[in-house]
Amino acid sequence: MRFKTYIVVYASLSGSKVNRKKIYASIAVVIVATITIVILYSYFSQSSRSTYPDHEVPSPLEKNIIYAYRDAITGIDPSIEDDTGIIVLHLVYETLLRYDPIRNEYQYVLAREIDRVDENTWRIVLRDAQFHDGSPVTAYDVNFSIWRSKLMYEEKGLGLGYIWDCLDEIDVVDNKTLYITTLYSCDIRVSLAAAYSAFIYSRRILELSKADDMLSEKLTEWFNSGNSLGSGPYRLERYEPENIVVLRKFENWWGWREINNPDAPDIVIIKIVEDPGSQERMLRTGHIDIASSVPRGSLNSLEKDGYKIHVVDTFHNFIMMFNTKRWPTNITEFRKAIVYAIPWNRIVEQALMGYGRKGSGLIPYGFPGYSKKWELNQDLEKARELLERVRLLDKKIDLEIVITQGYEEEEVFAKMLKEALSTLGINLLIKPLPWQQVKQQGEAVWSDPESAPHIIINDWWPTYMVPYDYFSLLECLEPEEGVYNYWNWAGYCNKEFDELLYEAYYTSLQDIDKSLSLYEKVLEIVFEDTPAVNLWDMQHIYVYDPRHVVIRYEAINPLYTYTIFFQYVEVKL
Amino acid sequence: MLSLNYLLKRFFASLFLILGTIVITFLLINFAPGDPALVWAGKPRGPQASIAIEKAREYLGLDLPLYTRIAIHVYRFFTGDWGTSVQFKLPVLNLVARSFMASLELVVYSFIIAIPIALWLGTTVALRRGSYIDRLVYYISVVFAGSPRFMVAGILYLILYLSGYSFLGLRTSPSYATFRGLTGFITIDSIISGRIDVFVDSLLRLLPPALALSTYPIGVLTRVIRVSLSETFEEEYVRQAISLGIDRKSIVRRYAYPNIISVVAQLIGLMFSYLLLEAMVVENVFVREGLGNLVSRAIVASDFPLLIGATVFTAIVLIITNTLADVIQAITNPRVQI
Repeated sequence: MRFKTYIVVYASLSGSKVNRKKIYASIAVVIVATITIVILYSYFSQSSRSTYPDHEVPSPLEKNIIYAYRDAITGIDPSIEDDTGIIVLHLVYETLLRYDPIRNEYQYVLAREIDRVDENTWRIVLRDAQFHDGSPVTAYDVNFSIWRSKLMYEEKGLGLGYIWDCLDEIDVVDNKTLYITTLYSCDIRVSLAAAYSAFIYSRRILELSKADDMLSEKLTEWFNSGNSLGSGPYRLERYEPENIVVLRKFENWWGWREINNPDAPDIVIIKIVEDPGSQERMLRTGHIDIASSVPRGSLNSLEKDGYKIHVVDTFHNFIMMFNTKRWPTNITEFRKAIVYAIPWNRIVEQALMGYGRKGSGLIPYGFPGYSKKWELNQDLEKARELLERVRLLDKKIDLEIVITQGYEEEEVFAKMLKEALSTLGINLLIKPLPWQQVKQQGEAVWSDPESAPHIIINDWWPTYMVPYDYFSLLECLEPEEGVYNYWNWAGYCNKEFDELLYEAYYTSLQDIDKSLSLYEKVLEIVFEDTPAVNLWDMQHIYVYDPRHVVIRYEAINPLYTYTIFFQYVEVKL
Repeated sequence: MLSLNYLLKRFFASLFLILGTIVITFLLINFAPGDPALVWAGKPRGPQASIAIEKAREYLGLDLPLYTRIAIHVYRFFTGDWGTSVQFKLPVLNLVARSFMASLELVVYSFIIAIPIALWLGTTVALRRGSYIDRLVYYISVVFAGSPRFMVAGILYLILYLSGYSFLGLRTSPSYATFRGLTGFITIDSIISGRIDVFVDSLLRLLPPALALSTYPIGVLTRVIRVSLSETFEEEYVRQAISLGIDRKSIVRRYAYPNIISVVAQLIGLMFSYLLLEAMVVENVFVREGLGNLVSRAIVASDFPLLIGATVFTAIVLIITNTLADVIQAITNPRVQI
């Protein structure tokens, strides 16, 4: 609406005489419209109210902390959420076990004892814990939660319930004891300590959500409307996934007695701030206490200004995948030539500004199956030789790489690769896209390989401590039967690879150590065929003011990506 | 007086526009590249992923003819089923309504700031026509009305940051974060609940973006008030009042202002829609919840149901606002009904 329009409107009106009645009538129209909006809003917002309608008024003495997270929360159904909801779920719910990959040990959470009775049977005894509504955590709830996760995957394809693949039966002996029987010899602890789909919640949710059965969509809607009934150290107070999540300390959590942290925050506010620059601004102005993503170029300056830069190794890695169904990346030698052209030794320094580790094979640093022996170095001579072998040297080939918009490390890397490839006569076209479109482009390898990019970068973090998680990106499944692996953006199909991978997978469910030699063989195939390569392992950087916040060792665990276990965080008033 | 015929005409025209918006947005998104079932299914993994995709295909009715899908879409829309956001897994209507109220509150406050300032400035320069102040205000109002809002918001953010304002009250306090009311207007809800702390907090958080947004109505209204008052001052009855020695302030209040009320009311109605769109930009600069933030996230995530919902909702609001403005205009000036 421009200025001139107003003048025209004015001109048309200025001649008319206005009396009070007309003004009152106009005001009445506006009031009626406003009241209608308010009534409609109240009606539609009713369904998103949380389980706890009577919120306590926070006291000024309560300790609060604001954590800025870079992505919107994608859901909080504990059985089917498979992405960023993890940062909320591990605070509201608990698993039976937690795994510490650094100390290489399982920690008891809701379980008090776990014994292997025989090859296929596990006995689990629960600790005395209670849900946020005060009811006790029972073996019946464990039975309900695990089955729902498993069946939601098997019946509806939702979530990551495949982690319960070996589960056969759960026998509840009493309120605190249960037996898990497996279909085959399998270390169930790996699943019990998974990052996703292993949360325990009250079976009372069926009644609260008015759902008929555990697979009902009503349950998912109930959870995602901001409701929860877990036993974690924090309960959900407000859930607006696009904007803010508020958690309040659950005073009756069993763990407060054990962790000895009187300075744990009473209220945790997770604020969604996507732009790293905004996170830095907000940190400096006191809007937030912990930033999870600030521009790497600002880290030195923040450190100089007294902020603590907390760097943690993660299992979050960035995998470059080649379209094996489109020329020329369908030629193995060509793919290898590109891999040898990557300036490997400069990636961490330049693209990650020192905050990461050089990739090796497909498995990230610290994860079972990781080995430094798969590390590569830039070798342009070898790259030339490989291109010469397939007669593609200096043929002025155009390649397309798709990266995720806003990921500065991917953008820098793509430019480095472009520069290196130009010396081989290859022109790299860099296409940054929003993540969802990156995914669509990757999936296109199955429906229309010619429209899918030659190269694409995917970032990945694990569901549980099984190397299969990373190799599953190259699993073929049965495309001829219409069963596609939508995460295999390489379109790679190799029967030998699949068979060996399944063998390694089932072995790792029984005994990880035994399976490592098999995974090594799988890696050899990957190395030989080069459909994908791990570029780097990400280190996550948390920035905070140490005068106000202390993050204890236990607060961050690389298996539970991006989660901060706030019960181990200290807030100083 | 307002005729029923006119009202019905406006009502059906609005309904037709809304229907058109629903169908067009659906078609545009339908022809977007990529398989909507894959987007709808989220991120399913493993061999069972195909089940999730098949169910998504079923829900979206992708095997049905296009006209049937449009009919289903329109039916669902009018029965309140706007679908579920792919990204947030929440009903689209809830998300859009919540964000809309946040944006609406911002727009309302920007008018609360703008109207008295524009009235004072417009009156001052109307009384000093041709003076330096008149010219200065003219330039300021042109800059205010003409500058892109993201620029104004960015500059204001910088000024506030340098002046230390952000240390006063922009941090999300627990009171603010945990507070929820009935109307969606946090300032009104906090007063109703007797929570003065939340009221002050929310006001401090609202002021900077509202100030940035108010520059547009300040610029436009100041000019219009100045012009309309100047013309009113030339009217015979005002001259008569001056010659009778009535106090200047009284002349302005009693004789001049009533004559410009309808103009200002009309402009506010027209500007409302425009400001709602401008609010989307300002929200992003101040990292504030609202329709702008929601739409930008929906675009990035290819969240088509949310995108359709937010677009149609915004269109409906604009159509309704313009219709209301027309109705008010028809009340105050019956000639427009002809």
